[in-house]
Amino acid sequence: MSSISVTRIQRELKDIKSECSGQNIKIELYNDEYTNLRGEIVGPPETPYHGGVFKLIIKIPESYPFNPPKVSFETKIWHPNISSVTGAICLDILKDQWAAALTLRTVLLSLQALLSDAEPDDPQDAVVARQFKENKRAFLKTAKFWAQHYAHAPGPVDKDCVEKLKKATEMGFFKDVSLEALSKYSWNLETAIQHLTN
Amino acid sequence: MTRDAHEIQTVQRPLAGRGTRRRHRQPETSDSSNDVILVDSLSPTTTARSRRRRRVQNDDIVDLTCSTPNNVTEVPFVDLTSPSQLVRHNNRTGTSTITNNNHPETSTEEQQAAVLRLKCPVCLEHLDKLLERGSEIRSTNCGHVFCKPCIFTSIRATHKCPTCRKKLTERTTHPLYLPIS
Ligand SMILES: [Zn+2]
Ligand SMILES: [Zn+2]
Repeated sequence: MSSISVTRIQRELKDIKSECSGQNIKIELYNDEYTNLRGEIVGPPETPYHGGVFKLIIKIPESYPFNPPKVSFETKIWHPNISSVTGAICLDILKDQWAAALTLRTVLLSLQALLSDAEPDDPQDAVVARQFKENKRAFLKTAKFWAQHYAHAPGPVDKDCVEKLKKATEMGFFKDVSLEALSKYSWNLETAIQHLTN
Repeated sequence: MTRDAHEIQTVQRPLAGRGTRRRHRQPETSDSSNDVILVDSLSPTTTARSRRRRRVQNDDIVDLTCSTPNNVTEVPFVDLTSPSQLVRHNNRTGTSTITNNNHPETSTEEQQAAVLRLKCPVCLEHLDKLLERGSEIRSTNCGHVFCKPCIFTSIRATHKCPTCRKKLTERTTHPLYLPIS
């Protein structure tokens, strides 16, 4: 680990402690080598993610801050620009639009902005993006249910989702797998079960 | 809520980061060296691509940071090149505000102290600490300010301005002599 990346991360962590109260973001060390961090963002209002707590895995390359941090979602999320399977993120500032003056704080704020403003035409998850464009109601329902199920977002849970998920698990399928299939097929239980059996 | 002016600048005018997505992965670069050469984002193909993309407004990002009422008074950015504005840092309340340079109540010392609360955006060290250590402060042709080691390392690693990503060489930077007694 180069000394500049360590110093930078140390200063960023110090700054973020004093500056980010009330911003619904958090960053902590995961190991003592400053290469591995954990972040947290709270889903912004007026989105299906509202109030959910989304954990992020942050890996700092040796060449930081001249190369971007590697960030992915640890908490499962239903969003066109985030893989529902791996948590990989499609965000330009984490790729070729990175600049050394950007910080982990600006990255997390940009991710919060991404939750508010998806870009389905530049997807990371093609299935989610298609649903977003073709069946917005199903997308919103699924994204909200995932946020409640995985990120502890508050509010009454969709009864239709709960019932169908229960039916699928009663047939012997794992909960995560069932939820994935139901989400993919916009809560059509028969199609989802068909997919699970094949 | 303490926030230094240059950081506000980073968030509110992030020429570098607009929070948009890209389909194309950047080729993985080796982590073994600090002098990793990034693929130049200003190449014609990339530029054409980015023009086609809908960009999240910078204001969107700002709105999120300013969700609490305490933040409302904060001012977007400080232009060091403009003599009409200066940041004032209040140590008691931990707030930074911009005041007019011509304001009769603002003493020169206060102004100087305020300017020195600024940081190098790469190493995040305060300018006053850097000057104390005898480090040279440098500005780029695009007007962005860094400590000398950071801007030179950045240029070797990426050939770009760390703040706005304009193409840079060591020759397109120059020392900045702050008028501090
Ligand atoms: Zn520096
Ligand atoms: Zn610049």
